[in-house]
Amino acid sequence: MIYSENILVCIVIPLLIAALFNRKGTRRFLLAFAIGMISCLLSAYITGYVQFLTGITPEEMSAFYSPILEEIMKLMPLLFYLFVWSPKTSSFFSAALGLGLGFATFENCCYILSYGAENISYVMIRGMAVGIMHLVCALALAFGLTSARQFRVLSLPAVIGSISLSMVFHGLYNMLVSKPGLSSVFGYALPLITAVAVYFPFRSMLNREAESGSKETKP
Amino acid sequence: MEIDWFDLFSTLLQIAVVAFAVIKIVPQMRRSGKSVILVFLLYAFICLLLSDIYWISLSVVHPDERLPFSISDVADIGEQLMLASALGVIFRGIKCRKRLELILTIVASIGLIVLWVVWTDEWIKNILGGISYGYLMFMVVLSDKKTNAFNRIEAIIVWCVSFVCLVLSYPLRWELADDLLIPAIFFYPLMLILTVWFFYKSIVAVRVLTKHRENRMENARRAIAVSTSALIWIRCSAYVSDGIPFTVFDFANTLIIPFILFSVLYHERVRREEASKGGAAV
Repeated sequence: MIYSENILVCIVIPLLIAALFNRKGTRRFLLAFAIGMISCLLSAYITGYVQFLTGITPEEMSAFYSPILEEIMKLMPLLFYLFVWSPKTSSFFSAALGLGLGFATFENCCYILSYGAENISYVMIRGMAVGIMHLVCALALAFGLTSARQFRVLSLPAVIGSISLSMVFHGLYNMLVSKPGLSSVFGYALPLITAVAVYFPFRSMLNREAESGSKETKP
Repeated sequence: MEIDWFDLFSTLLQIAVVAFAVIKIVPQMRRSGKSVILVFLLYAFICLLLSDIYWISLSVVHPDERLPFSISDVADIGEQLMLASALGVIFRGIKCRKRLELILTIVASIGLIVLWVVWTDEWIKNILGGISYGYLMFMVVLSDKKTNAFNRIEAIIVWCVSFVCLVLSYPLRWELADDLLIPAIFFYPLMLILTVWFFYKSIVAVRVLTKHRENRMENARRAIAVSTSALIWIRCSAYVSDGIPFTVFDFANTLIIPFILFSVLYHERVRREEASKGGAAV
């Protein structure tokens, strides 16, 4: 058994203090990172509770249902940020990345403390796969939400549709790695392949946004 | 677990077709800046693609695991909602009365949800799936009305056949009738005839896009409305069937995707050209 709340406090306090000494963009990222870790802890609580209520085994819960709960927990702070502060697209993406990374980092911390970190190759594979998977899910979610907002069609169906994509991607990964063998190799490779495929369109989109932003600010 | 080779072939074909659609959409998105219609369509197709991949992977990794609510159901819900959202954006500039359409789609959706719940005894999946399907159906019916995709007689025939099939599917599914032959004789042929007719209408609507150079935006919208209506009908037919008829309708579901893709991409091209000329953009 590990005391995940204590681990959370231990990591979040320096982050929050560091946020005080940083400028707006970095502060936003650090806060999103901390909120991502808190979301991870809360989703672990809810997953445990649902598991207790339904009597599903931990393996089944992790492979089939936790992606749904975890993605909902990631969506909540992002939606709150989007509706309350109406941030710029680039700021929103930065917050989504921080949230996804924070979530993945805390999940990995707890996993490594529970099961050990003796095998460096396995730890690296897990770190890259889970870290990138949460990142890709957060990006997919942010892209869907910002596109809908940009054209003023941010409705409930669009939000649910966006979150469905990240849930399915997360669920596919969890299901593939739930059993050792060839399927888990595909599962570990899936986030990396997707991140490479998404990287270039994502960079060009951000560059276009930056160009249009600079044109708007010019007199 | 025995492998259903027809089902596997149908799913693999759908993966190939949807992957092709995704590959076609991405360069269009780069060309037309950030079009929300293409983003929604891309999300819908990626959901469909991942749902198929998930289904095949689940059959390989956990062959004996069948859950009351799985990730592929989430994907189906997401796909339907994203497609409905795309239709909402395409047709949002056109106003019309929608009371009758709302009532008809609500009645049809409730009928389908009750049928699925009693048939499979799975509540959450069928209620959530039924709501998203009903919403997509409403958006499609609305787009048909806005574009006059079907004339009044065609619309009445389609609705009547839909409700007849829905009513016939109850005794067939619940095995309430003493003689199941009667609903079976009418049920599948009726659905098949209407499916063929929807395909014919979709082909005609898409041919108009390639042949005629006037009223291109209207024609594109009509093609989108007709092909999505075909999709809705085929899915409805698949959801109330099982065995070989299900595989046939699932196959038809894959075949209609290129029609939707072509008409939406054509619509985006026309919109881009009109916007570059200074016309109104969606």
